[in-house]
Amino acid sequence: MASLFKVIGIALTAAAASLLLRTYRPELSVQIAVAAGTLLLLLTVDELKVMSAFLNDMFERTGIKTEYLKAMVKVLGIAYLAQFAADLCRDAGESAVAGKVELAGRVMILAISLPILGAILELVSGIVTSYAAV
Amino acid sequence: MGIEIVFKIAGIGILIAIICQLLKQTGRDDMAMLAALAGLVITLMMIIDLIATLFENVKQVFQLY
Repeated sequence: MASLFKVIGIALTAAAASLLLRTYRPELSVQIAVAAGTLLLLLTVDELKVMSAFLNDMFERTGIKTEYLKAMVKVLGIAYLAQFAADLCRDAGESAVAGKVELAGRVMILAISLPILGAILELVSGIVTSYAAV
Repeated sequence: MGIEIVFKIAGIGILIAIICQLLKQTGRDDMAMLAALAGLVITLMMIIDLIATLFENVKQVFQLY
């Protein structure tokens, strides 16, 4: 919980420093935004470590196949990083580049979730054929 | 690994801004350009380490290989 105050402190000081440099050296103000973003992500990724450990043993206890959980955690990571990069590009004024980063993130998430989609479709068709036989 | 990297970059930025202003006054614009470039390269070197640690952490937490 204490890291929330740290996050707010870093964010506000970085915003002030970036604003200070914007008039003289705009490219360095973007670097400050990148540094602050990375620091904040580092702080939040520690909190997420606890969450993924908890999810792991919950899934083991309930016996659900763990590759679904692995795919879900991977999708979470991809979204996490893609959002980070896209916002920074948009902050630097390159909204087209930001859009491409988001597109790449979506394509990768789709690629990861395809096998799960296949499993669901097999499940559904299994149910349908068993009822159709009645 | 905290707020000091933000202050370091801000310090470099202010220093480079002053140096460039100085060089521009004395008429050496190309040197000013080189000074700005040097500042940017130094800042990028620092940021690359930070992003590398971030990627290692994320790779470990989210098993993203």
